[in-house]
Amino acid sequence: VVTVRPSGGSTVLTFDHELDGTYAPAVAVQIGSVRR
Amino acid sequence: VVNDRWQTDLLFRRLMGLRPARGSFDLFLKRVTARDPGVGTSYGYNRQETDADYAPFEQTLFPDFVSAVAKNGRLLLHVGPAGGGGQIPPEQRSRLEAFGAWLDANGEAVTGTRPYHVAGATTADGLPVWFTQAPGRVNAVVVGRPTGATVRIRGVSCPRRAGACSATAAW
Repeated sequence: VVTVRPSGGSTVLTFDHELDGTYAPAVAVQIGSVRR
Repeated sequence: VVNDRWQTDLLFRRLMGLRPARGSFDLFLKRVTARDPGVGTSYGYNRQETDADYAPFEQTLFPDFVSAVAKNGRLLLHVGPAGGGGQIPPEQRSRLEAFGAWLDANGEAVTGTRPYHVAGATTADGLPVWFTQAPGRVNAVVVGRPTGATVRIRGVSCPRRAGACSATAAW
């Protein structure tokens, strides 16, 4: 599980566990919604 | 079948909307455009090639793939069956299987998506991040092996309006 929040012009992803390379070669996260 | 190892068919490639086989797209592409690298140094099977001659999935093929998608591109990956039985050699098959494994878990981040208005960014640790969007969502693909429990994507802020950053899906 990951939470997403804006912070000072950046986007911060906070995972509920330490990342250890399990998701290599990439972590894909839905970071926001788009107004349709 | 097009073989441009010797760059002799540039006109054909331009007509077909193909881009250089190696390297990456620099800009957003106005229309869907493909890069077509061979998985090795040859488009066809070359019995002289070893695993070391094939592009590594994690360091080369996957980053090429996800960055192309983020810029409205596609990656056409050539494989060449071996002579005789026409089987895909293990060195090539393992790379295709690596793509399949990642897409099984993360396919929503690329399949059926369109470019976001920002193609890419980096994390505070310098890892590349590529964006895509689909109806109702924005996806970020952090390439590499981030450590810790927090990843900061620099320079791109998800909207502050209510609910915009509430998506918590991780694949």
